Amino acid sequence: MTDQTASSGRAPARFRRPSPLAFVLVIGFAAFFVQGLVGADVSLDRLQRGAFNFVRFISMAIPPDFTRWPRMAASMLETLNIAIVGVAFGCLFSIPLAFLAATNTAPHPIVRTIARLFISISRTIPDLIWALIFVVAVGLGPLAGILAIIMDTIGYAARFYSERFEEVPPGPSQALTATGAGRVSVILGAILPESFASMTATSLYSVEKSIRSAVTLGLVGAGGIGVELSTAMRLFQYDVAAAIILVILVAVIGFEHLSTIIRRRLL
Amino acid sequence: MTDAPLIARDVHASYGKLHVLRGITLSVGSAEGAVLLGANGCGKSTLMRALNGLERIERGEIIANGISIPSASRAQLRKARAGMGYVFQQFNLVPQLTAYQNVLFGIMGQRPLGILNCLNMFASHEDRERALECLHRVGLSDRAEHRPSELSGGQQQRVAIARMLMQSPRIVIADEPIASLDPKAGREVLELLWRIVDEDRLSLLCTLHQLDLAREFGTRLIGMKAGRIALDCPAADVARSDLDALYHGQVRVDETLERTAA
Repeated sequence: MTDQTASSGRAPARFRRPSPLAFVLVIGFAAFFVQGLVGADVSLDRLQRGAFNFVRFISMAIPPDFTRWPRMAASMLETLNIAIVGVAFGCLFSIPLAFLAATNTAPHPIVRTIARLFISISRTIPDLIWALIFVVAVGLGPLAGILAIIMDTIGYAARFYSERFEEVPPGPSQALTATGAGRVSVILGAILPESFASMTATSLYSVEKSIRSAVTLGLVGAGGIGVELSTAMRLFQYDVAAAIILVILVAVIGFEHLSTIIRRRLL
Repeated sequence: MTDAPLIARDVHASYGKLHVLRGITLSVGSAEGAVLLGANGCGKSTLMRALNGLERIERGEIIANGISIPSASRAQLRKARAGMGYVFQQFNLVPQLTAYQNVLFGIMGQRPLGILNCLNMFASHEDRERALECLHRVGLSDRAEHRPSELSGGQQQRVAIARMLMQSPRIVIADEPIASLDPKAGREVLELLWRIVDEDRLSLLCTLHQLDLAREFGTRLIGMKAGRIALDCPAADVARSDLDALYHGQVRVDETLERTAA
């Protein structure tokens, strides 16, 4: 090492000038950051009041009020229903979509592009916005939530399914093609079995994800426990809200554990 | 020659600018086990794939079981493929499925509704019996429930041969079927293949890299060199030096291109 530096004559410079692009990016980011900070109107006074209000919220929320538990349980059940029904349809619709979107199974490049566009649109639009749209379309209630979860699941599951299909080695499909089998048969016989394990993992994760988002969908009126939560908050019933938050916490954590156990058993 | 199950006439094929097949003419008759020899890169695999319609050709004619492959409609091509078994170097079994299910897939191209009629759950009683019989013929009926990963390389290739048998083909194309096997397993697979060719009077075209095995098994030897047929005669008439010549000098199809580029 010492030999090398000695032979090259001079040690490398301590400081290398950043590229113009990096320079512009850093300056731009810094400007945006400062502007945001100013725009949020952060002041010591507001922070102080915020902390005080937070403590007040906590003190009003303790002890949590579980007296309305039958309604809470019913709406938690509704949330789970929304999540399960939505994710089931979402995963089901994702399978054909993923086949249309994967390079090695798509029937035509144009079909593939359309399928990919559809998948990326359902992914890019957040679930809450889907819920808002569907509340307008089908009215308040769990159906809007289910539709929102379906779109959200497609954006996630169809993308990962199709990526998995593209990774499947071509050999077995080629062998079945060589027996004179049709395209659909080849896909179902060779590509689907090889993707099955990965698809199960993706689907289980979709369930977890959809339970988490089904909770918040109620905030915009798409059914489930979120409706109860937003009502309680608006009426300043913080103790009821705290109870609802605890119920959500238990349900989500419980389901994550369950899904981890299933995944470990299955895969 | 004209009524042979498998005929190729003046076949040309290219990958971009690379002229891989430069006028291949050959035919394989019934109950004939021909061995195709040639160095790596001489165009053997392209020819094999073209015979099955997996590779498009530019010019020439391929007739398999009386169906012209280059001009076939999709339905005709599937019909021609259904009567043509293909054995791969890498076996190409579906790894998640049992040996039995893999064998049943052999008739996928011959049943209406394709896969639905060859899933173990839904297949007809006759097809299920025949799949077991095919496994029995390759000596693996006791391994029906095993997945490919639980079988040795030689056993996997025998399952692939059982899948080919399930098609009841008249033509069999074997693309280096023993290249990934040890010598003992490789010899067993070749013995099995040639026994089937004799018993069922099939036309077999098999590529090999082992010259000794080629002379021992092949009734006819076909040699390819740089995209052309360099040798085609009964195995008994071929001298060892003729075979060695296939692997010397300009053997690859891409060499001329490199030389002109350089």
